Amino acid sequence: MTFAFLVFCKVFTLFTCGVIFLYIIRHYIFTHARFLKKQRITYEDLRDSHLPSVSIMIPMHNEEGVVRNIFEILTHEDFSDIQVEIIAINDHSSDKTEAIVNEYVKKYPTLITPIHRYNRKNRGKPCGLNEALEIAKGEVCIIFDADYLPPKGIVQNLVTAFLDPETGAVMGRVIPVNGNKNFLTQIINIERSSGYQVDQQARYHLGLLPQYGGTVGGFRTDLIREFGGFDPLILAEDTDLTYKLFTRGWKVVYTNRCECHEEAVETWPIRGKQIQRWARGHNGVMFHQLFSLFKSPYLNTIQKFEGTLLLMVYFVPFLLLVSLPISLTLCLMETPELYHFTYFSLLLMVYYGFGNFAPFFQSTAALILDRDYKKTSLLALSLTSFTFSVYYASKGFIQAFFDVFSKKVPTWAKTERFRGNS
Amino acid sequence: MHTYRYTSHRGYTHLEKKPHSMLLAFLFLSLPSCLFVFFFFETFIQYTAARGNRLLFEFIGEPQAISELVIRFFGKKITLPSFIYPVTSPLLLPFFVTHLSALIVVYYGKMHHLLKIWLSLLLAICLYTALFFIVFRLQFNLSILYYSEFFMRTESWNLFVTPILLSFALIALPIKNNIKSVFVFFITLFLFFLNATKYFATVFLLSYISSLYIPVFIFLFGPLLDYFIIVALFGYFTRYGCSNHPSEELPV
Repeated sequence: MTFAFLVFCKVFTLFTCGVIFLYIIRHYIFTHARFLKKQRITYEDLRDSHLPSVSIMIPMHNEEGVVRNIFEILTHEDFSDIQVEIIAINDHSSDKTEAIVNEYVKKYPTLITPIHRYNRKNRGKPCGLNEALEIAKGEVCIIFDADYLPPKGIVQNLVTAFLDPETGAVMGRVIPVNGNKNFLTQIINIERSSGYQVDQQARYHLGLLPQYGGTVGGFRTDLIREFGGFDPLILAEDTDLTYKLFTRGWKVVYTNRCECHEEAVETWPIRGKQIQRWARGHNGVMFHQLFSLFKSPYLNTIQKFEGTLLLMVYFVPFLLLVSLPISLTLCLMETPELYHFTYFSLLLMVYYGFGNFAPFFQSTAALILDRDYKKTSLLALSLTSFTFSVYYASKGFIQAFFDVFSKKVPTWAKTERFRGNS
Repeated sequence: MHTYRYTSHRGYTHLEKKPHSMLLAFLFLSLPSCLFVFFFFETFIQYTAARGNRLLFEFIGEPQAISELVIRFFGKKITLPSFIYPVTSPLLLPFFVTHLSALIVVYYGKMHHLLKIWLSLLLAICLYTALFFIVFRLQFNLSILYYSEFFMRTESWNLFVTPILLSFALIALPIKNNIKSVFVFFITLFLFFLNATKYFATVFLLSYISSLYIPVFIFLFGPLLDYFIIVALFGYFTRYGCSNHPSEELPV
């Protein structure tokens, strides 16, 4: 009995070590590819006189503090070379969002179309987007969250990628606007930098699977209608769309130059909820899409393998959380051996955990590419968020696991905004 | 006016002639240093064990300390039934109760969110160890000797792996190779002294508290502390290197 238990512990810990080791190699490859490989030409250089028409969708729920900013930016943008409509999706807001939306609709009746969703059975971003898709007139939909501050020309730059008929979706880069406000926002800034500047860019340039992130990005309207819209059972509608596109032979384009500022969360409890929601949604997609990923005739073996690793990103923290007591049990029950898995597991766990899903060298590479050298001093402190992320991501995984059986529409936990409060 | 951050389209080619030679050099450099540390600790432990140092072999606090306490209070030795021994142990029960109460206080108390999660994790490790001791008393083998063995092997492995990992991490960065080499050498040397200091400090601390804290000590002062320091130094080094000793960019 004890022997069987010890064997199980060793196999499990070995499996965890193997998985983490794969991720470390993956991130090494990304970092080196980002620095040393010749990068692909971006679509912005192909700017054409005829761009597809665009429906800009702005999902919002209690956004009174931030919504004016995005309306001001978009209504003052020069759209003379492109046909644009803005669809403001007000989803069950209980603050002044509705009034602000109506105020801008009055000012720009031909540009802004409002959707006020109240007393609907299903709430949340995917449901709101589905309703907007019914009335969207643009060939392409571009999504911005209400707290985003899109720079001039970003819509045209994003849409240019659709000149390629194989492009199904496009994704831009997200940069926190309050990246230096406090310790947490600085850590988030490093994570974002690492995730986009190195991870997404390397995945795109290596011909792997860059991810459509649900905001600062867009997709072909008809294509999503053909898919039957967004699945309301999935919280991470963006990841779901990414996999639907890739498994059906479409391309997702990442454009590192299309930078858009967002508001990073400023308090730890809200950050925890955000990670939990991401993990729940991402793992939900893992349960739904893993099989179709393996079956897809459009992807090669390397792409399928990378796609699996990407789907498992929020499963790994749970694996680590389980392997910790298991490795501790090994440590308590066995005499130490040279190749004892316990410390190896701990070593790798810590190594991987640094910087929250991105090892320290990848974060360093991103900061160097951004010429943001000062933040490299903060790298070690990202260890503090390691246990934090493991805890909340594991909670998200457990919720996603039960979602598979319950078949209920998950509650959308919106991230609180800070700009309007300060 | 929006200004774009620096975004390279052609990569960042800056490598000097043979970048992989650095990796190989440190692979061979790390091996002897690792063996040296391994044998240093091994010799120390064997020597101390040969001298019959009871500290190394005994589970501190249990059961000798209990017997001493019981004799002091009752004037004679009381033999408890073996099956209830761990639960009624004068040292283990307070350990378990205090840590469980601390966990509840930490979980429901008002404190910084991060601190709360970290403390909960550490207390959970302590409680798990105590629970393990209660349930599998006969298989419980934690002693300072165990800790020493574990520590020594972990750290020598660590000392072997770190230069390789760092060399890999540094290859792509736009810093001159000689500066990178100095950094890896400095880190290896630093780790050696850090490990020795850590070992003696933790053994000293453990000898004053219970061996039940060994897993927490391994978690806190093992690879976690090493990597915290390594990454901190790595961060400062890259900042210094990129600002003062950048390598020349070459066309692709």
